[in-house]
Amino acid sequence: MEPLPEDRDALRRLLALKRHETPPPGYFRDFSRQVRRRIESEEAALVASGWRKFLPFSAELPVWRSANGLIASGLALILVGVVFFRKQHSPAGGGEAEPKAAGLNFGVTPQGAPAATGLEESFRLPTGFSYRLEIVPITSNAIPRGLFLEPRLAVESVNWQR
Amino acid sequence: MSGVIALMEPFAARPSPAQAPTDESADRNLVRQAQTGDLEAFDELVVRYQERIYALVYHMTSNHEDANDLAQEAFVKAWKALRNFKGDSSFYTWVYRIAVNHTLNHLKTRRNRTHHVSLNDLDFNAEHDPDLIQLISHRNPRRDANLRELGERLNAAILKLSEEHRTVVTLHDIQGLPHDEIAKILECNPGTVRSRLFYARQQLQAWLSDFLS
Repeated sequence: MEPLPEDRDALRRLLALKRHETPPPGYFRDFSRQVRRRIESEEAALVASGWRKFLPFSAELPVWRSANGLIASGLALILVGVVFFRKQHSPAGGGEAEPKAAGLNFGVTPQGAPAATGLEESFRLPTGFSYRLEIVPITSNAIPRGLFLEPRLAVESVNWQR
Repeated sequence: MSGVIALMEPFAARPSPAQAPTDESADRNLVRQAQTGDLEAFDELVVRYQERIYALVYHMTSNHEDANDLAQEAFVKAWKALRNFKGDSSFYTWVYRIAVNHTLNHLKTRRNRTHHVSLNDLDFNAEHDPDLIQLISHRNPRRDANLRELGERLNAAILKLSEEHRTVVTLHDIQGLPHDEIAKILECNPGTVRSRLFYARQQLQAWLSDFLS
């Protein structure tokens, strides 16, 4: 049934009254800030969930849940990388780029061992041991080879005969 | 005609916020900036449309708390989807569509929840409208008519409508949007909008008959 035109007009006016319903004064002053806060918190949650996907085990460990955990893990990775790199390239590591030993090298060399390069002086003692003084030019700041080598004495059994 | 509405005949309806002119070129610039991640530009867009979006959601839910949450969530959704906004429609239509769909989803999920009219939370400013006060004091035989009761009855009647009918009544009769604009927002034919509006008004007239005749 078609409503009467006057009723229709009255209804429109009645509905238009609803335009007067407004939120409390000052409500919209903070509205955009609240929207922004929601956006920022949702984006932060999204980043955190991205990390959780990347590191699934992290959800199990409380320390990973915080940003500090992420920073700490990053630093730990860098540290491990540096240590690994240095180990690969250190003289003791046996890498290809082994720097030449530098400085004075005092050591006890068993007989028959190959002689080191550089200027060296050997002393033979009556006991049969030989001491070798090796002088090589300093070409790097690497720790001199043999600095931490403890002299090893060959101990032979002695038979006392009367 | 008698009753409150009959006496309100000369009452010039307050222009709806939706009818306020919008600067579309300024919107486009702000949208472009916001699409590059500029939150300040998006803030400006929020400030431009916050009252209209809030009012839309409030009239669909009749609840201030829900309207507060849903309106803010609609803007957050708009921010997230802004990179995909191609500019085929105005930002205004697009953000309205987001708010309508978000509110309809909310209403569908909470269909069984008891609605309550929350006019206590709101200022029913019609009481302070000078035109209305003048009409009531000079020409209204029912000058003691309680405008608050009128508002509550009106909201209760609107809440009885289906969500689709309530949406078109809100957009057209309360917010003052033209049929074509509503069709764009709801992504349907203008004829569907007119049809829904017709049936919605019929029901409202039946429920508010004592105020209308």
